Amino acid sequence: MTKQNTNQATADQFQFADPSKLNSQHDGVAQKSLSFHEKAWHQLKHDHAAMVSLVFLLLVALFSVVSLFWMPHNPNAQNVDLSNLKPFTNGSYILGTDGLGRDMLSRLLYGTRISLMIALFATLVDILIGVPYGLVSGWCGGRVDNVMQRIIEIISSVPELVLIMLLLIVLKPGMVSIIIAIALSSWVLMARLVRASAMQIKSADFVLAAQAMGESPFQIALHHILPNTMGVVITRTMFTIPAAIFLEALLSFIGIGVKAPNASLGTLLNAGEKGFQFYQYQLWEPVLVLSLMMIAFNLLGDGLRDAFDPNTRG
Amino acid sequence: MKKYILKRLLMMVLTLFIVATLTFFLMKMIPGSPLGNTMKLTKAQQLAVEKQYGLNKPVWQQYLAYMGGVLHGNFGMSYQYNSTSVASLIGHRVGPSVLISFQALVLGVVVGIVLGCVGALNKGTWADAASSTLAVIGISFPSFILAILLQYYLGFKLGWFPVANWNGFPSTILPTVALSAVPMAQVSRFVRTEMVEVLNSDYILLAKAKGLSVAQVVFHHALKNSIIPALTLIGPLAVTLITGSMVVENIFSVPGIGELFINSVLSNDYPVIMGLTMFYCLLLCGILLLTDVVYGLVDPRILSKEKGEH
Amino acid sequence: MTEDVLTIKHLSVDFQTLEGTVHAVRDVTLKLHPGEVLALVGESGSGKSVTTKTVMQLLPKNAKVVSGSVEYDGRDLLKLPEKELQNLRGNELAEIFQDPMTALDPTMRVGKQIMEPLLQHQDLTKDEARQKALAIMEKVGIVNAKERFRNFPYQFSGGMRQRIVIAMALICHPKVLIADEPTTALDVTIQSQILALIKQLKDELGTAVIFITHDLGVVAGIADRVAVMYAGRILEFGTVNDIFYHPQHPYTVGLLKSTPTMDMNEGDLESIPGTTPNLIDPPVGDPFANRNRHALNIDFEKMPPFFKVSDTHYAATWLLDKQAPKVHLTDKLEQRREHYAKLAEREAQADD
Repeated sequence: MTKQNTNQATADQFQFADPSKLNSQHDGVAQKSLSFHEKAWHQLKHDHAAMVSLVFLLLVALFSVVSLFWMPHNPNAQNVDLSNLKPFTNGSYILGTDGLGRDMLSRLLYGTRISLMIALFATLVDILIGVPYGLVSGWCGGRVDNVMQRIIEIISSVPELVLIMLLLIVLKPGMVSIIIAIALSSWVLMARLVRASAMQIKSADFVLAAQAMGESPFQIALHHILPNTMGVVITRTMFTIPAAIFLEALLSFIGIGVKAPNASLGTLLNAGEKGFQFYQYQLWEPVLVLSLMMIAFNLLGDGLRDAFDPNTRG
Repeated sequence: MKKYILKRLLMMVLTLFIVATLTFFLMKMIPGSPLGNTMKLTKAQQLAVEKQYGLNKPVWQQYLAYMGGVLHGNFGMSYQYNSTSVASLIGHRVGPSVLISFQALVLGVVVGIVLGCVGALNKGTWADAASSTLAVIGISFPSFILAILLQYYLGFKLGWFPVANWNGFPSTILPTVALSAVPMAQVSRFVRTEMVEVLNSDYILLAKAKGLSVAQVVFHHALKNSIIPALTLIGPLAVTLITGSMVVENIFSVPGIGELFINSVLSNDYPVIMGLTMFYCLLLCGILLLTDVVYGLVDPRILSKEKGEH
Repeated sequence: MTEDVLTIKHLSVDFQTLEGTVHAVRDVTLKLHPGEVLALVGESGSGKSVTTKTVMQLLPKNAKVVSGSVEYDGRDLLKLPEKELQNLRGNELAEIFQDPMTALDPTMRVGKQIMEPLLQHQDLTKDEARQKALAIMEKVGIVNAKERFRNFPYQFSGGMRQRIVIAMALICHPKVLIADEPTTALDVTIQSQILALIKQLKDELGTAVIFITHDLGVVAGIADRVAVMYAGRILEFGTVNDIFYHPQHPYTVGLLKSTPTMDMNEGDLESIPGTTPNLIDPPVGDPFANRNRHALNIDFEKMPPFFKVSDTHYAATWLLDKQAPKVHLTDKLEQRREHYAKLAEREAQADD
């Protein structure tokens, strides 16, 4: 802490620095400002589990699309001579055949496509009902909100699966009914989340500013509230899809979902379970496909939630 | 508080009334006679049966009769189980369901809390990764498949547990385990998130600054603050257990209401379906009300942290 | 000079973050004399809190002490095993946090929270601890202590909560108290009450205090000595008079000029241009150089050593070197000096 010897210092060092040096060095270095969605994407990219899941799901989607045009075999073509072939024993039937000699791989591709389609359409309906409902409820508030919330309370007082089964009894059996039944029972949560989000955004300064600028309530809801609830909607979607896949599988497994000759992961599980004692691959194959998809959706959903939620971001 | 509970009870009655009405008319909307599918009857027999169940009267009379019955706890007679009332059917079946659901709840909550705490306390280590992985699998892996696998490998192949007949505690083990997977995962994820947040809070730092050991900080301060908010999970957990018990009971042939419901759906036993729907609805409303009351007793201002719904 | 209670020597602390290693504290040396109040002044992010959290050994997991020592009672706190640290924390070393709204456990009755350090460090029965807790609650100004003892934190206002936090910190009569911006989160009217309380209690107990603040206005009222921190380094330290009347470092001068006082005109207030440097890649020389109108070339090349101004006053600025050009930093501060002198006088009178 004593005075140091500074004799070596040149006289020039003790001249005043060039003013251009001021505020230039180390000033705001590397402070790129990213938009909210860029930050979310940036965060998501570093979430390895979520990215692996995303790639896996994209691959599944790709296979499903390809299977529309080409499959190794006709998934419904029966060949009794080649029934119950074990996997990897026949070059033409890589994943083996089922009890009726149908190609397991083709049936899996087909079943996955049907399951995915049901889940995606159910989710779409879920969004189409849930988002506007939540938006109106949260944005209007007051008595409208009160009534809309009571309706939601009544619907959610019936357990989801019970409601779905009730609807399935009434509707004509078939894929459309399953989609409607699943969507009608699951939109409630989406509506609640969107409502909570809308109410939060409603009191934000930029909404007040928009009001002050004279924008109409409808414009504000459309241009300011809706875009800002997107994070919640996207995240929730990532949980709705696997839930729908699960419900479809469950219903078809019980025997009130997709009916033969159509195949879904649920009907494959149902078929696989019957012969499980003897032909275990017939259950394990759809089980693996289903659970990997479920895990991937959940991991991606977790990643998205962390990315969109500023609270969990460090 | 009393006023609040009263208000909620009124709302509950209203909800039940609406649900009963909707289910009744929903069932009436089904095309064709409910008896046509299951039994091959002559015209005369069919008329006799319809008369027995009151199906020959106009719909509004049937509705009034049904609602009148419901008020007295009479949900009609089952089609499938001849001359058994729905109420006594449910009464006989509710025991096993409650038993495995309760066991699964205890198992799931205890294991879930432990896993969640282990994860949060060792954030970023292999232990955290392991507990998180377990939780993701628990959430993702369909419970009915878990039930099939448990039944086959532990029950059938290894013979450790009884597979099909419902007889005493051993036969409850596998259904309980299969049913507890999802609650376990839900609780563990919730507690982990809460605990991570709590451990980062000022009052935990202050507790450390007072000279408390890590164990004291966790047990005196962190644990309570992370677990109390988990009360909000009870509603979702109840739904999870109701859904899960239907399939799990079906697979393990547990003589419970879940199995009864699925069988009734498969055999179009409408009075049972309606009765069980009301019962489930009552159960869920009751649980939610109870949760809110407990939450109110633990003063809400203590739990003032605003929680977004997950 | 009497024996120091606490000596921080050449302390450097790094943080690992996603963006890189943040050098939050760089070569900090500080001494705390017995019974004094040492104010640690600087903008947010200057490393004040990190320094004191290192003393308490309560750094977050991603922080790492790179070098240095913290000597207390003949021992280096940085090398003590956790068990012994626990014996010191809350007992001989205590801390008051910035935000009383978050510093209390929301689910535990305040009485129990106040008793906790006592039960931890002293061999007392629950009843004795209760009596002591009630006594200190009354001392920090909580009326109806007996009834309030069983209340939960939400039943108290911010100022009352801070009194409770102070009671917890002082209940074991610590030798060293760290007050980390204890009044920042409070209303202005409550601020002065809390300051007066801390001052009164530390005089009664003879506790030495490290008082962290970004507000020089607060410093004048409470501190004996002041250390000015910027970008992880100490730039100047001295007695309150040294710092307020003879500031040497351009940053200290800038801070003084930007502190408002009651009777000032708006035009008198000056802000410091620019922003604080990035501590992931900290500047080599004087960290304040790029915001300093009087920066020398050498400021960008080499960290200045501490130049002695007086026995109590040291400053790290090349302007104090013999070869440096003479600079008159403090023109506008002249008026201020008079102002502070008046303030001090008034306070002295008030104390009598």
